[in-house]
Amino acid sequence: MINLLKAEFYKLLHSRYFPGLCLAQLIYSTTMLRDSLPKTSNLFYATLWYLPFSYLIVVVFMVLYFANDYEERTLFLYITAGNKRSSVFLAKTITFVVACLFIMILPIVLQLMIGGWILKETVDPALIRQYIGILLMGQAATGMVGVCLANLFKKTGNLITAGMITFIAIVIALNGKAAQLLSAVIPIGHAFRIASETITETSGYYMGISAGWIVVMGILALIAFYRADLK
Amino acid sequence: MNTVVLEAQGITKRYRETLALDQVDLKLEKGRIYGFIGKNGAGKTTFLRMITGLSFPTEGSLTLWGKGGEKGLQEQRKRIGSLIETPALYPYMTAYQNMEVQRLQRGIPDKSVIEKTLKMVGLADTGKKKVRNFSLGMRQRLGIAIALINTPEFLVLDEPINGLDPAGMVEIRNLIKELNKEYGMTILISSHLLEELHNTATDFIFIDSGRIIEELTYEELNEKCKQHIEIKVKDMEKAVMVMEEKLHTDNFKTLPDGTIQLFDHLDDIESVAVAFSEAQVLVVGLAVTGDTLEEYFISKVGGGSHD
Repeated sequence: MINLLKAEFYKLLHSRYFPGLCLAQLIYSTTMLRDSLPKTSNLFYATLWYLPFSYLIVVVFMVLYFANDYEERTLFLYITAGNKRSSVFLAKTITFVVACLFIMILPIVLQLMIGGWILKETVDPALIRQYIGILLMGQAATGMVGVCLANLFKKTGNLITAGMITFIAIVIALNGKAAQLLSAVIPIGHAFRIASETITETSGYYMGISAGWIVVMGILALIAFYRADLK
Repeated sequence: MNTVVLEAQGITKRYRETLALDQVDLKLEKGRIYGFIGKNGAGKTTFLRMITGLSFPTEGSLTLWGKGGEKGLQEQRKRIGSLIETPALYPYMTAYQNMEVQRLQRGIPDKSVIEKTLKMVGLADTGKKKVRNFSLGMRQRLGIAIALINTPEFLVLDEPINGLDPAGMVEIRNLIKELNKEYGMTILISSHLLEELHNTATDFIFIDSGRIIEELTYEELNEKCKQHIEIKVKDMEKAVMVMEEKLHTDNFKTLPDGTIQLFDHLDDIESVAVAFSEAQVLVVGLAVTGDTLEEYFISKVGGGSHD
């Protein structure tokens, strides 16, 4: 398992798309930050306002990270080396979710540092402590949606279609009349709730919802992976 | 000491209505090079996929080094190297990086194994060239290098010389023979280049419609193919004396047209030529002839499309 994780992180760090997506997310979220600053009461909330729409980056990452393995049949090398399917699945899932968290959270950290310095605004550490659990769990659950879609749809074309459909669904859900309600049950919407200061329930409630998504998405993905013909 | 590397008993694989493998019984012994021969769809790749854990039998049992069951097989597969169908590679990485991924996932501590294996397949100087820019032959060589990274005890190769130029084929053939000789590696190769297989394998397994129809050693195959060295000489009497006294054989036939058919020394034609030359017998023709493996294969399974 540790060996598989080492191999997966090596692949990730030697790809061009990973640093490229980190940079894209940084540029995208910084551009959006200019727009969200007047809509929110402080810099911390402003960095989170558009986070749900960064799901698009997760979609692109999911396609690049998973579809290549299915299309180039590289997963079969792990199996023929005597690794269990469950270990291969776990190693890929952990790497993908950790990378997703990095892509989503890194720009927020940089914006808080640089933005705080430019705007002369200090973010109350208590605020971060209060919401960090909800944010991390929400992003991890979003990553698990990616893992699930990737294992269900596998090929580039199917994955792009499935990813774009879910992205459009999120955009509609978080902009419609039921946005407040849906932002509570969609993990990536939790960031939107924090930003709009409409967190009404306890942190445990939101983290529980995200945990539920992680479990359900994980089970679906694992079943799909077990059934997949790895060629 | 267990000399049986793989044992298949009554292996059957059914895909809905299609019977891909039908009661396959097979035993592979340590240190041999097996040529796996069959038409397209005969069940070769299905069987190789089963050995490597990519597919599971509907019925029957498989053991590797005497160990069966899911857990036992999984453990033993760490001793196998394989190249099934086309090589599985990361196109955005270099050859070295592709090998490094495999080294990491297999937990091989020695990094120098990468350079060593790449050198073995002639890819040591590809530098920063990405795999996406590799030719078909280079990709095939890298696939073989990946299969060899753990210096496996059992190597499973499905069409390993696909896309290689003639020089590349000879190199890979020599590499396979060298691995077998140096490490005592057991090798199972499926290929549709039957003459190439004939030059490489020590044993041949013929499969047709999911059933093993014949298993032969190299010598048995040559006997069946009636392979012989055809020698045309001017002085038959002297030539017969050379055969008996210098080559120590009576396994030959003389024909009225001055031709001798020698049924042994097939893999040592040079010594035959030297013996005649030393005895100052004029040889006007010397060649290995008889049915080719391809002709024998067609006679066994019939014509039509085959691989």
